Amino acid sequence: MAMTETKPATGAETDHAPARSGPGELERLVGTGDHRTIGRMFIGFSLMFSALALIGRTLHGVDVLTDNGVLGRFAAMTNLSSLVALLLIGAVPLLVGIAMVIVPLQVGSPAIAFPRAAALSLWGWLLAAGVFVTSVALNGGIGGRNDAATRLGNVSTGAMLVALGLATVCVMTTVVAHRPLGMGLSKVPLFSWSMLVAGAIWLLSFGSAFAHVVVGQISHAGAAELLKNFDAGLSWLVRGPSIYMIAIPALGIAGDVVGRATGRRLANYFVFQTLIAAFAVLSFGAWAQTPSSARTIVWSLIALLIALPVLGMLGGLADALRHGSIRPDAALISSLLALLLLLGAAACGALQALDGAGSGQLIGFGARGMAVGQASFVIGAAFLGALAGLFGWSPQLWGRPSAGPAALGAVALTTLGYALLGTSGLVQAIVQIDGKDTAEAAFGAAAAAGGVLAVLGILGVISATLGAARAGNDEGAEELNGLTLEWSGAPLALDAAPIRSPYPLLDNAEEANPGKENA
Amino acid sequence: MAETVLELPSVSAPPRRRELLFGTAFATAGVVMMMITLIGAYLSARGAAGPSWLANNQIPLSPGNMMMATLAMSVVTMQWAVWSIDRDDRPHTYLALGVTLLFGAAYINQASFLYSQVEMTMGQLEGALFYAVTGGHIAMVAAGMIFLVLMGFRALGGQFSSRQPDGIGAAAVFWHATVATYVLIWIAVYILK
Repeated sequence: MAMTETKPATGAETDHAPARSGPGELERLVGTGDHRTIGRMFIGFSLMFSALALIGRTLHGVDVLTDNGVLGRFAAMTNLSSLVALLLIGAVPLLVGIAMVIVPLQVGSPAIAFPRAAALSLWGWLLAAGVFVTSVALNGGIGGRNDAATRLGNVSTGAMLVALGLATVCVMTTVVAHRPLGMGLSKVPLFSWSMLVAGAIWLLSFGSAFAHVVVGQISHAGAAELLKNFDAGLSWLVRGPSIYMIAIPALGIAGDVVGRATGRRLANYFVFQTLIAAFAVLSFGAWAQTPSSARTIVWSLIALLIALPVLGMLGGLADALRHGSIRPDAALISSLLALLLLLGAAACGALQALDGAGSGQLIGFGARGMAVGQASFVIGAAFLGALAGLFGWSPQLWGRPSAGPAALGAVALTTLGYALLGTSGLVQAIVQIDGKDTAEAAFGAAAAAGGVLAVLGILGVISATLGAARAGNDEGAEELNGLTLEWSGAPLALDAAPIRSPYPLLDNAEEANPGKENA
Repeated sequence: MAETVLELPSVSAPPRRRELLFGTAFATAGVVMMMITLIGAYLSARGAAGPSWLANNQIPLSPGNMMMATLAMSVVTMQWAVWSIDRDDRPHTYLALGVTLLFGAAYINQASFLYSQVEMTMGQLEGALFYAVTGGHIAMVAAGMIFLVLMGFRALGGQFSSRQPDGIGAAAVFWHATVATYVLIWIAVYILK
């Protein structure tokens, strides 16, 4: 027998060999490094937590309507905690989840960078989010009155920041280091590009916010001191300009969704990338942590300028939509509505800038209503952008397209909900000039109604995605007809030809049919 | 003799070049931003407190200066490691990493000595921010040392060479950022007090 041949196994040996069972379902789930599984879990859990946070917003609205007749001493805690929850256990992880699945596919990579770190970020975030929700239930969270529970809320906030930061590092590194030959950063699909620039802003902002969490924790502060710490060191995360950072990926998603809907290249691709980058730079708010920074000329300029990239995106996308036959679907409508909500937020910022012009307050708009209105608009835009991604990339995420009517219904409800939340805050700020409480109950009712609609929207999204996930893989195969690499159905081969444009599949199609070039 | 068919074992895709370097750079940016915010909060609180700041404590300058000198030397040895691995000079790579680790350990030792000299309590006005800034940096140095050890072992295992020097380079990125952060702390906390 040659040395290289394997000795044949005898019957006796096989009979006595210990039976080895493979890992079970749960073990595979916990130990997975597969970017699709990790991303799907981010998406699923963040949708569920978002519904909880929106219920909190609804309860706060009902409480205002009934003159503190529902929440009692939990009112302030519910208001602050639900707002932060929408950010850290809702919008950001939802977008991170979509990015975990889609970004590697867009750059033709079979895996995400640092898959174990990506898995760690998921489980770390999930644990921290669970602890945060528990602390809220124990009258802690943010602004609660129980000392131990508020410390728990502070720690879990920090842990969520770290976990989401880690996930962001994985996504950013995938964009930068996993690109195939020829795909320079100028040829990266717009969603991946937006995640790269958003990630940079998120990392810096989360790092800065985490510093205040550390200070709050090591000073052994009680509930009252932790609330002060939040106001002084963390509340800037949910104010302008920083709040805009969560909506950066919505711009990229809109670009990719419109490109696919038209079946054409976006003209002046570099301009779209520049607009997204400009929006990201303007949304960097770690420099404006103190409330007094809102009275500086830089803050006012940023509040006014941030509308320009959004208007530029809308104009560019509208121009693209004028050409070719468009089939409006939930993804397209959702992505465009996200940009419109961002304009609502920019209107809030412009009014704040106007109010802060000169010394003191020029008009005296209600600051609380304006801030809540702006945050609601931006969070709504981030959610609608995410919905556009969820429905637009449903074949990649769940194996088949989402059902059209269910998706459209979810988009409509979500849009109405967040538009109502944002508009009620904006109108409240205008009506309640100089600290008056005019029509407070009516604004509470509007906020409650907006919260209910948004919850129904999220439930609609969960229903639509569950339907798509249950239907399996096969039926959606014919829908893989996009322009970028995630629609190719397989990772890029190592010996593939260099990428020549942001739309490699369109390049291939044009190469196969030279007469049908449409750029 | 039987005919044998030799097949190469299946291999996964080659490691992505610069993946670790980019990942470390991104993570480092977040960590540095945290430290900058802490230093900013320290300076802001000091400005608000006025003359009462550090009225009951003395921060000696010598340990802070020595820590700065130690870390400045470690920058050279860290870069020595990068230079050596780029030239496949493994003995010098290990030597440079070892000396850098020694400097890191010396820094932590000096920081603990400084703590014993300052005798600041957490209950004081300055306590939380002082320990957040300096303790945060000690944690950063410790993390850098762990990173160096891990990369050193991977280099020992043959994973890094002139063709794939990313791990050592990534550790250097984090280490240099750590030292740069200390320059800010040195000025803000130890010199300006």
